[in-house]
Amino acid sequence: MNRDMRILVVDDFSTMRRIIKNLLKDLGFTNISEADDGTTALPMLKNGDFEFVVTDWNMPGMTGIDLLREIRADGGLAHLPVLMVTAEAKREQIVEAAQAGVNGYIVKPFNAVTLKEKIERIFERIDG
Amino acid sequence: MEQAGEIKRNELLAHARTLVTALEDGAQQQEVEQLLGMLAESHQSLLFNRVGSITRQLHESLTNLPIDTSLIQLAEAELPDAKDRLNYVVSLTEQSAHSTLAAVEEAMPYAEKLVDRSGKLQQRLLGVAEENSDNPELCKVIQQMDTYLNSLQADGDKVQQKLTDILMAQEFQDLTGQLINRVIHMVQEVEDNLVELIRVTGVSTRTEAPAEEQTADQKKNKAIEAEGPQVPNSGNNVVNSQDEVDDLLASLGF
Repeated sequence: MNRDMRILVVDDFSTMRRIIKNLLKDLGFTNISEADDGTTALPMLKNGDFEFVVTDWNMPGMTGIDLLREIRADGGLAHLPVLMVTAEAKREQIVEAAQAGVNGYIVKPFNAVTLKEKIERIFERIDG
Repeated sequence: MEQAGEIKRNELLAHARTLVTALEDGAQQQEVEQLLGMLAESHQSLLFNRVGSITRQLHESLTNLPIDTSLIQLAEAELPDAKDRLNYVVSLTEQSAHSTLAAVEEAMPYAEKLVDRSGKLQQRLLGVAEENSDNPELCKVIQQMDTYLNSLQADGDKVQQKLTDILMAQEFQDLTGQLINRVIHMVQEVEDNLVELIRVTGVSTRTEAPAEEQTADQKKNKAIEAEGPQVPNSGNNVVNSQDEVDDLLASLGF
């Protein structure tokens, strides 16, 4: 896990993006970009060298689950670790996200410790 | 309407009897087919009459729906007003959360610096104490400073923790915002359906609706009702800042 890695935070609520950005900063990650929807996130991912995506589910243009599917379907992006941070808490949704290839799933409201743990776990699996 | 139905039934019966008689008398194929045709026609017009009767009843019910001024008010003013207020709530919570987050972002570095500098000073003091081990008075003072710097770091850590708590508490805005957006969506649907209903019953929303007659008392009482927070730019003869309030009072001699 490289603390300089480029991270994309995707959520339609600017306050939530700001909170996650600050939490990531506290954990030592400072190279952070933001997108307000799956539709704006996808081209950014295709054009940039991102190494990690944190995304909401419920967004008006393209949802997080669809964004995840697009990422996994794209040869150049399929390897990207994706962490979902969302208010969607139904069992079927969590299963659906897992089947679509999500690397971690955090349910809102969440706390700072949970975010830290989930990120560490994701990269332990990747680097290990 | 029942009378027309009855007439058709009698016609039908007459044709049926003619057909039966003709068949019993051994009528030709042509005549039988003719009579069957007349039966079919009677049946059709019987059906048309029934449909016409039901349509008339439906139309009467629709035009008699109590689409009065209060429902029109709802569709034209109160529901859109409700949506405006809800949107304003979301925007206010967003502004408030951003203000808090900005303050937290500004405060964080101070707490970090506190912890960092205390630690560095401690290291330097350690070095000084070692070089001056023959000076007990100095060592005592350094010991005291070391203790103080420990507590400073602990305090700094505590402040950082609390700042993070304040940061996380702002996540309410995302959740409340999502919930309110769903309610706005529902209000929109109700408004759309009501507008459609009003349109279908053919009541004009502006010219035909009779103006509400208010008694003098009703008018007076209405003027001093509390209205709650004003949505900005609603054009309701509203002041937009404390300065405007002060100016208004000053102009009235207060």
